[in-house]
Amino acid sequence: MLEVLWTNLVESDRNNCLLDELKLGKDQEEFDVQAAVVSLVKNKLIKLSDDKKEVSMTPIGQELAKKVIRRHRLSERLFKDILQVRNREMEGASCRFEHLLTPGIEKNVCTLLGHPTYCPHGRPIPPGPCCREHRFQVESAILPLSHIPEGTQAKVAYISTNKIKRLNRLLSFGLLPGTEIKLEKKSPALILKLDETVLALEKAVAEDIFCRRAGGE
Amino acid sequence: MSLDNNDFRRQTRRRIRRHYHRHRRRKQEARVALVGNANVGKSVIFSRFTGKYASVSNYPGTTVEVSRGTSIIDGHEVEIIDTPGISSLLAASEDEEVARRIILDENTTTIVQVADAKNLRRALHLALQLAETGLPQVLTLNMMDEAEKVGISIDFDTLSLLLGIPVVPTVAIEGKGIPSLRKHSLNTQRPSIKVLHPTPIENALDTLEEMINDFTPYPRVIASLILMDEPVSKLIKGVSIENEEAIEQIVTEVANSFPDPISLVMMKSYADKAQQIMDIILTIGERRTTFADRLSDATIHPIIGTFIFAAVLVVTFAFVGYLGAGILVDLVEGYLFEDHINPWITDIVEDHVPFASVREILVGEYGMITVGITLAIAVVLPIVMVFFFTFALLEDSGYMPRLALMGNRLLSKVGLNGKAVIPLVLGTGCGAMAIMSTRILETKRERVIATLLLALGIPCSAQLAVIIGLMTYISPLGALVVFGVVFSQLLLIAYLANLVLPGETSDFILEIPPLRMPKISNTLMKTWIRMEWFLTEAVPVFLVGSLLVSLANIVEIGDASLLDHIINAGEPIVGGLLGLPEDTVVDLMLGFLRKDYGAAGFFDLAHEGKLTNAQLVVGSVVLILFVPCIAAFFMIVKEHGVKVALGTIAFIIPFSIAIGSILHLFLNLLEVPV
Repeated sequence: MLEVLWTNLVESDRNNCLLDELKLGKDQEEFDVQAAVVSLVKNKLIKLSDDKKEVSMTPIGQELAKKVIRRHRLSERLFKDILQVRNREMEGASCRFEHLLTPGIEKNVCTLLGHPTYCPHGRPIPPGPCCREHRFQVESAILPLSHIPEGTQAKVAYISTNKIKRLNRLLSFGLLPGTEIKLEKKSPALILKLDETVLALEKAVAEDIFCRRAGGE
Repeated sequence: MSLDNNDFRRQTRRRIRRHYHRHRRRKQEARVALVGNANVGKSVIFSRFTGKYASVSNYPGTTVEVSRGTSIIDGHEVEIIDTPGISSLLAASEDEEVARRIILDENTTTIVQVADAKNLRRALHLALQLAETGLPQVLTLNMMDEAEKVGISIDFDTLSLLLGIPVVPTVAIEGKGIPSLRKHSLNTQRPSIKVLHPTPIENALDTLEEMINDFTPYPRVIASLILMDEPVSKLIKGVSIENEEAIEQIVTEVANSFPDPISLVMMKSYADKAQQIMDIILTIGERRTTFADRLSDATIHPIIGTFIFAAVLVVTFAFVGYLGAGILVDLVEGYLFEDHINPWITDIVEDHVPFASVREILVGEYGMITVGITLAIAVVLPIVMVFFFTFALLEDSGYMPRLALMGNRLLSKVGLNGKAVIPLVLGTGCGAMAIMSTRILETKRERVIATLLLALGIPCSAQLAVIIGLMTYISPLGALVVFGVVFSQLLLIAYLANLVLPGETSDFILEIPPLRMPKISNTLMKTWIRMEWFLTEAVPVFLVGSLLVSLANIVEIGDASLLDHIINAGEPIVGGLLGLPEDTVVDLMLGFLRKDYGAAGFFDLAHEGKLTNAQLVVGSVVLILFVPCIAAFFMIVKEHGVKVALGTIAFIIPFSIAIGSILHLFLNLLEVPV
């Protein structure tokens, strides 16, 4: 419920809203609104207006909501980008997965994903402490080759594809985790240099090759 | 280096004898397989060994046919096999599978691995896998000159020590290092280097090896491939069902022990070992940007590259059209045949050959000699020769893959891989050859689409040259209309075929080799080989064609010749729908026998002023779109089967006539000034 409140209040720039507006329990069973409201008020996370029709969040509530949202949307990114799960399954899976993200794991997942700022639905992911640190460090984010700027020196982190043929071909050219490459051009196709071999790849293939920038130009 | 006739005869006799013996008993004779990545100079080394040449191109249309030859080394007779380029034993394409099969299934006794000295990592990656076969091996580091230019220096002795096999530096194209390499090919040293995978994998390998020991002389290699998910039945024969299931189980168990695919884990082991070796023996000095680098960058630059692409195409056609169709044809046809050979033969025939019909067949209106051979050798051959030369030049310079790269943007929009540019461009030389080269495309679907486009609207060089000749009789607008209509139809059909045919386009992953100055002797040799192919395929067809038409001209049914009947039958279509004079029916039909034959007939009519401009435009369009020549037709049958071939024809005939009719209507109604 906190998540929904966050969406309706903070992201829509409002201070309070009507209880009835909130769309709760969309794909779960009957959501006991009353019980939830009571519990949240007791924990000093939300405040009810005098006529018990409007609800707003306390500062503590907002903080908590922010963390929940962050974990949920990070999970969505994880399932969508790395594990390539279909949308329907992603929603359910990420809902449950977010509960597993203790702060340590959350930091790792966020770093792995390269501190993403938007979820697959396009909604913003609230930054965490690791994101703020990262801004002052040398960029070590992992990006698909298609998203790396021209002229960058990079190291292959992993290849994420379910097409065996594609994987085998990339492997046979020597594109393995740890291989150092230089992205020479991005058009008319992605041209990369591996030792003295020059390879041309189409964008769809490059999107499966995740790399870490190693110095740049 | 040249092979004189006696050598050739002797070698052929020996080869036949040996072939016979091979089937009687297994002789322990040296069979060397030349193995290596694509574009490392294997074919050059092959020719240095055998004296008999193989095409040096690295695209599979011509090298997927495996070249075999013999070489005499130190008095021993050694059989040499040239294999398609291979990056790892985990074959990712059909020709890599062929290469692997040659290594594993053909009683190879020695592997000579040819490597690009400046791409040592990839070579070592492969060498380590080849080492697991346990076969004697030699590593040659070719193109040393290029490696030196980029500042690479290699410690050969230490490398040889680490691998346990001889390492020979060469510059094959100049012959440097070749005598040493030849001698070392008799080597019997087996590699001593071993790569160890993570323990669960090693354990699984041991188990698998025990299970398949009886079925293959290379248990470790096969076991590795099985773990990397290659189907057992493809690799070895004779394994029982229970064993196959047991094997499956082992593979699944191991796969579950690792988060990554096993192929990746195992490849990593080879890569790590290769890196270890490189760290010891390789030093890279200063690397300066060479002119070749900058030129290479230009060819793949989105804007400059497109200009270069267009320029290359234009120059090719200008060269073929001007030198080939213009100068050479005038020389051979005009001077040689028309002025000298044909009159001379006609005289001889008329004086000595008794039957009128035979005379007619030989030197008559559609005579086998006066028309058949003349067209083949005087008109078509010079044009095709120039074209093959230009194409070979493009291959040898390393420009070909860049052509594919530039074409990928456009072709991927109609569902074709950029590599399809190669058969399509080759089609402007000779359609039949182009259809054969569609093999380089990875999926059947792409091969069929490319073939359809070739059969439909890509004019072969002879036809193209004649049509360009036809263009001189019409206005530039007319020429634009012709090519515009053909091009738009090609795009339309490609787009539709892409929608209708099920399946996916293969990934575009292409290696771009460095630009090189082509060695003209190589290029000429390639051109010669292709011309030989053309002569043996085309000339008989011309002869048959003119024979058939002459017969049709002579044979009488009722009160008119067969030919006249055919003309009358086609008249309503050709005259009515297309608006062309009745003589052209014959030309269109002859177009099936040989496309340029048909175009040449049109050309003659145009020359005599018997066609209006509008008729020329319609005629050109229909000629180009009409059925492919008989050689191309047989090639389609060979590559895709009779059903596809007939289906293609069944589509093309009504389609081309429909387009021609619409065009005819359009031009006349709007009175377009073509």
